[in-house]
Amino acid sequence: MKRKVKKITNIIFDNFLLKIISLIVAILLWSYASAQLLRG
Amino acid sequence: MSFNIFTQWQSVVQIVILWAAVYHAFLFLQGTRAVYLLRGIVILFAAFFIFEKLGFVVLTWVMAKLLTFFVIIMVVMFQPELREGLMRLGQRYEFRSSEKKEVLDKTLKDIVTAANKLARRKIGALIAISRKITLKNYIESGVFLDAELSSELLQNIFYPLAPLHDGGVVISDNKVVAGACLFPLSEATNLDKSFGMRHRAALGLSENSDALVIVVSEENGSISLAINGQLTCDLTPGDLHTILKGQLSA
Repeated sequence: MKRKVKKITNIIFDNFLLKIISLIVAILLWSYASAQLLRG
Repeated sequence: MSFNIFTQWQSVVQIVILWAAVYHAFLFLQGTRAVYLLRGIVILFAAFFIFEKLGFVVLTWVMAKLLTFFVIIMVVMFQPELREGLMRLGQRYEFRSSEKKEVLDKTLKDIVTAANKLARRKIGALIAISRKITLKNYIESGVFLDAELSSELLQNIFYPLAPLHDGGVVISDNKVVAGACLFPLSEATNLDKSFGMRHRAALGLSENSDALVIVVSEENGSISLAINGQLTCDLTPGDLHTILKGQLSA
């Protein structure tokens, strides 16, 4: 169980900053594309 | 198109897919020189949007034209990286693990011992230790080995009758990744005339990447080290160990 928790923690926190930046970029991209679609 | 676009479950899935794509693109770019280009693109795009919002019509037009050219230039300049990226699509991504102290000590010991023994026998050698910037393009020019690093292996590779002795060896994460690799030659004009192509290649690679490149001269058995376009000559094994440790621990 401890190993599993450690593994999951590692997956989450490995390259954490890069993951957060990627998420922000992805949301921005999605928002931009959605806005363009809504605008027609 | 309705407001539902923001609330449907498909939106969440789309964002997650985008997130994974962006994350893997960043991971691929990390450690390559393309990351500097990415910064340039971000700055250009930011400037473009700011000019657009401020209503600077002429500047927006100029930026739009510049961005179009920039995309074309980027495709031409980074053709090898783009090809590599597409080839790796679908393959398992190799995560670069940080070297532990014991592994680093062993790596240094093996490299310094090999350099010292080769120098004593006046056998020429060219060893590149990769750091943040990957040496993929140079690895592709040689013979892929992916072998566990040892002093004996390095000595064996550079033995004059061995098939891989010509060219350089690339070491990464305690592995001999490839042998007989072609490194770019430096075009520095102030280089000592006594230096041959091996020294020029070491300097060339250090100018084009952040790799540490060790050269053993076959003429006088001296050990040199090239870092960031600077060549330090006539190093003792102790000096080499100290400099390498300082550089790789940083």
